Amino acid sequence: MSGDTHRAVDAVWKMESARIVAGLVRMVGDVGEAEEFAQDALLAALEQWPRAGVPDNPGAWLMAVAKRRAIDRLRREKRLDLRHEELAHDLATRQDTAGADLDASSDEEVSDDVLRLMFVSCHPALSAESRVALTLRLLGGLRTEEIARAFLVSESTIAQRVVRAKRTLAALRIPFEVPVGPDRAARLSSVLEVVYLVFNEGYAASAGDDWMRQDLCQEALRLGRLLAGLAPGEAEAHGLVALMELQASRAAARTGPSGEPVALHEQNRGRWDRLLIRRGFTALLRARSCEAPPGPYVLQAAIAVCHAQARTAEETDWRQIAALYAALAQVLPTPVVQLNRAVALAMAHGPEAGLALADTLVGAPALKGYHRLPSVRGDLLARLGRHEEARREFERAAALTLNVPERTILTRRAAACADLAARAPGTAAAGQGAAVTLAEAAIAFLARGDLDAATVRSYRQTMNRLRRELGDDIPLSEVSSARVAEIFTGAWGDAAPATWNRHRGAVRSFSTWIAAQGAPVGGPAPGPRGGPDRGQAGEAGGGPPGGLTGDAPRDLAAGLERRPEPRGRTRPIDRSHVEALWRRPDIAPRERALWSLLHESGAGAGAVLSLNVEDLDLAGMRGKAATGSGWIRWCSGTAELIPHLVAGRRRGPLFLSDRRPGPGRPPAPADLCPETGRRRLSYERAEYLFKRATGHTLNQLRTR
Amino acid sequence: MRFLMTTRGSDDMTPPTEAMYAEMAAFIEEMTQAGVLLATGGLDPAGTHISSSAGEITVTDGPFTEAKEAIVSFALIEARSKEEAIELARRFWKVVGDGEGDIQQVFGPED
Repeated sequence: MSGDTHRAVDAVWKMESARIVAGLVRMVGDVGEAEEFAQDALLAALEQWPRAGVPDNPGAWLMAVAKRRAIDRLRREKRLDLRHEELAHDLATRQDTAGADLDASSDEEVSDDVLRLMFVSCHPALSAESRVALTLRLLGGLRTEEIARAFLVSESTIAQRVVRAKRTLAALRIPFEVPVGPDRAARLSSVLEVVYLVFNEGYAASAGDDWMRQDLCQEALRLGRLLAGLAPGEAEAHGLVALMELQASRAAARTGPSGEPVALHEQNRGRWDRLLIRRGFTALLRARSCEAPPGPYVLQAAIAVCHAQARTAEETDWRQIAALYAALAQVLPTPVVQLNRAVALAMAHGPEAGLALADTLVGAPALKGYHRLPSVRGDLLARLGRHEEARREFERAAALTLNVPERTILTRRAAACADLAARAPGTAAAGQGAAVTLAEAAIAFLARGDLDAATVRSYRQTMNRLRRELGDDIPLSEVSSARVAEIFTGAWGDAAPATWNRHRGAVRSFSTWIAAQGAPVGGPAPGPRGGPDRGQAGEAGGGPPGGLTGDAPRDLAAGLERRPEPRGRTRPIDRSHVEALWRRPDIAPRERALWSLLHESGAGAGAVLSLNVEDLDLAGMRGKAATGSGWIRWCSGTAELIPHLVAGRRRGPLFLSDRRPGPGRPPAPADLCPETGRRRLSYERAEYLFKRATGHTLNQLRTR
Repeated sequence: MRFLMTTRGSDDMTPPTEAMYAEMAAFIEEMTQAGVLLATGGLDPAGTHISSSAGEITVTDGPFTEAKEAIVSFALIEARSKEEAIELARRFWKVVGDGEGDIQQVFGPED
């Protein structure tokens, strides 16, 4: 019986929490405090309803309890305003809460408050994940552990995000109001982004996932509908709702029996939910009636409507869709939009039109590693009869996707293209039978007898990367220095200069080796950068079988500059920088003490972190490290700071972590402080903090 | 989760007042906007009854049930849980007044 009541409380909470929290924020002005009072009311319900039964008007009951707590606190802190004085008096003179109109606000005011709460919890100053967590908590009434299950992270991660979000809102004193004027569009866009994020997270869930995760689509739909209801003049809000309703309508049709994704044009439209489709149409009509120029969500919804209106895939109005994508690309010029536009263009005007656009996206960094680009190109190439190229694209796509059923489909298509390529007479593949592929060249290059094992290992790393990015079967002649440069930037652009230069060296060596393999028959030996001879050399016909023929060998590393490497080992930090460091006001006491100690003692960071309180001789300004022998000695600067860190403790590690260790990973007893329960500060954490503050490593604090 | 809420007719049902219609309309509008109410309607008591037995299908007038057994209206709702559906039903009955009805979960293709 009490389990039932708990669930009843939970159900009511999810229905009412947005209104309750919003009303409280109006009263107390702070989101964190408001949530506390709301939680108080929830706890009271969990305590009392199992005994007394669920009240007649549970929403009002919760609101009354929450407000009473809030009023008590405000009165104690003398923050009560006139209106709530009256309400407080009213509450005090009543005997029971049933039937009392304790809500001093009208329905409209409550709605306004909920809208304000949405804008606040989605404030752009918060990170996207914090916004999501806070919004789901305050407006969705979800518990922390439900949010954690939905997003596949730990409960404490979500709790942290919520806490940080509340702190940030308080620190920035975000006002409790609906933005107007020039700010409004950006703030609204921030809210829509949160809602769509939640939706997409749910959309990505698979059938075997926790139902809370699958339910995220519903949650997002609720939030979206709520927003559209509260801000009916905003076309984009209706647009987002329309888009979500239409996407959700296809949920039952988009996975096959073995969990493989089914493309839109192959879906069984009889499984589309017509109820949701109708709702989607209605929402889009509402958006249109707002008479604003269509924004990204409205346009995406319009595209979804085109699909929903077609009874079969063949009846799809692709011209309309292509036109809508052109408009969408104006307001949302991302490569993904352009890719989708390419697909639409191909359907409306033929594969060349689509391929022309898709080809321009090949170098786009945002699409690197995105399997859909080669997948789409493969499809278009196949439709144009360019089967060999299509096969390569499908293989690339298969290598890039993490989804197993999807990979199977792509591999199958690649094989089908290979079949067609082999059978078609007079295609490029037939004439190129002897062309060497990248994989063959790489293997041969690494197999040469004159390199030592370490070099081969290093070169192999480089070659493997190139093979992965370009595909094993790409003819060597099609590998360009521009493409290699792109791959380098993506793979090692942020790596240490030594790493970059090492890989660059491998490519240069490879290029030299290719050039040395033999010149094509019948033409003068081409220079390393090619040149006017290139064309002739190519046309001179295929060279010796199995040799490296075709274009003149180019320096594949032509696009790669050598990066200067810093000299020497750990250089100590410049003295003036160290002095400036002590003057900084934003350093925590623990860090200040640690860094000062490292600097003055010249001891290693590991030794210093192993210090325990019981081993300190504060008067003698020295301490005995657990590791190694001998004393660590410091000077007056550190001597001032250490006592504050010890803070009256008698034993345990000197430098402690901020948080207690989680239940799953108990540290060794020697690393645990018996008084605070916190563990010894780890080297990694200390190093991270120092690097983040100064960009240097801890060992650079040593002066000798 | 989807639920079908049905209400039954009764002999002594109070005829709906103007005010009740208005409240009901507002309730329906609110629930529809929120996406909670997917479809709703009243049912014509005069209908058609079908029975199929051993391959033979018989069509007659019906349903002939006692007034208080007959289903007079339905609402298809979307709710997070059975408890939420019950809470929504409670709010509905607050508006309507006296009467009886049922809530049954509607299974979808994924169930």
